[in-house]
Amino acid sequence: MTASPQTLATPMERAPDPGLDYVPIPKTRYTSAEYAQREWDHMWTKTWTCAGRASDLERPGDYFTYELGPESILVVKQPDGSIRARYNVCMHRGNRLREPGRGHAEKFSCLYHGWEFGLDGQLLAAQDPECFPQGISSEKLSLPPVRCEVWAGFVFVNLDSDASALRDYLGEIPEHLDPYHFEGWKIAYDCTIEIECNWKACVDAFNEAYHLAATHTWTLAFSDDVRTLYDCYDKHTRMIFPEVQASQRHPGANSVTPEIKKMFLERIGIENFEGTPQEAREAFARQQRKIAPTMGANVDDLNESQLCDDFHYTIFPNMTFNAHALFTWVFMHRPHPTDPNKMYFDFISIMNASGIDVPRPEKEFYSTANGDTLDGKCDGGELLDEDLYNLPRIQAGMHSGAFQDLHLGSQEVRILHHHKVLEEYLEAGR
Amino acid sequence: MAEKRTEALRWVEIPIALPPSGRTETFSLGDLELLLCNASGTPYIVRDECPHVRTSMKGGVIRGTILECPLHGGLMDLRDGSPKGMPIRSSGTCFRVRAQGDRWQVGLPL
Repeated sequence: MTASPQTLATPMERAPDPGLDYVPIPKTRYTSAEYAQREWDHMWTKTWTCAGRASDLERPGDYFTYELGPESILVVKQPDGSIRARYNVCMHRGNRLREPGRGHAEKFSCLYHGWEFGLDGQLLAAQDPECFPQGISSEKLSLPPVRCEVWAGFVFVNLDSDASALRDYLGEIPEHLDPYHFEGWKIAYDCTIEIECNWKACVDAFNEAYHLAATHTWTLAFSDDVRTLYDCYDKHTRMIFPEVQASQRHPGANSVTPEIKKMFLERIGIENFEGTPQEAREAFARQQRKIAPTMGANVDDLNESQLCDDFHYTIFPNMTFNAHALFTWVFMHRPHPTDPNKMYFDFISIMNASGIDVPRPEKEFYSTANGDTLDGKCDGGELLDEDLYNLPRIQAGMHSGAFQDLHLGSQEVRILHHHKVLEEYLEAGR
Repeated sequence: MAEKRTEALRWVEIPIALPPSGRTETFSLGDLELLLCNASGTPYIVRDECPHVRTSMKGGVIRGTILECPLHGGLMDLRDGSPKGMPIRSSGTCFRVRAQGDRWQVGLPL
């Protein structure tokens, strides 16, 4: 029987070998202000990046800001239900119209001289218009539009008005991730962390499982870094990271470890499990299918691997998914406006729970410069803290005169691929 | 132990209905312009004057106990009037609210 055209299923076949050369990656791509400026000019201003969730824009006038490098964008729900983006800057004297964050407005009023703009960005009123002998052109002085499109409940913007459609840019991603039905998922945790590292160092930290054995040693009892699969597509990449399965380098390999029982099986109500590792995965998957309807979660289009493993996708340049059946961590790695040694890490945890009430949490802010950690703030506090500890030290180490290039291996192929795509953008802009 | 002293207040019935959750409505009592706020079912009353530029906050929306001024998006905590987001820098004025039967009352200074 052939699948109907409507059937959603994440492709499981491996992508072709990308055939990348294992060349040294110059550290200056992480430390140089000149390189960061080239990234801004030729990559950040040309690519689609995620600005937030459409669920934060329920009624007309709801808005959130999106800070990308030196830019701030207003993303606003319109009276007709559409979502539009405009530059968050008064066209009179350049004042920012709204502080970073989300809120509700009937119109946007500049607090400097009181110029007013509609939800659609049109200039509505300027004080004492007769004092402008050159006139006040609504066409020139309304808030300039920014391309804005929505996929899977994620609002993307692109500063390039000539960019191709979001769907074209996403390439394979909708086919791979639409089976999760993310459009109905709810935000359960939301924070932004200023990290003292280049944005790519943070993307890199989540693009390989090679660091698990040293950085997150304790996770080897329930996740398998050795059998992790890496796939590189046109722009984007995937890693299938086995969970509910101990690492091949762990003493409990090929057994159902106490950690698997405690952190996976017992957590969803499977007590006193006896059986093989494969039976443990099957039981974990089966139990989630049983629980899902009570949360209003649709897991019908997910396979057994997706119910157990971390399907890790990176949408170029800066969006990372740790996709699971009932919860998913989504990271956005944003560049600092001026300093290549700093970045903003947005972390939202979304729940597949359209049938239950999940109060929208307020965003929390942290900084590694203050020694802030995520310990206890979400399910994976300790895991992320271990990465947060590494990242400023990686950035500091890169400044050593003794260190010139990143020396990457096959488990780090996604990092090589990320650099390849980035370089293609920079070369195209020359 | 000394008895806790409470400020003497004049309790006045609120003349308007509680707006929907998350919304605000203005009303007057004598010279006072007040804003009735519904924070997820809990009523709060503040002076209807943004601590930023002294404009009405009618139409402002509430998340949790935080009121967003509709003009510039400044944030204020309804529980104590404290500033929670720029451009509001100073505190607003809050008034106590109590239930009296099925009506709400606001406590005004004597």
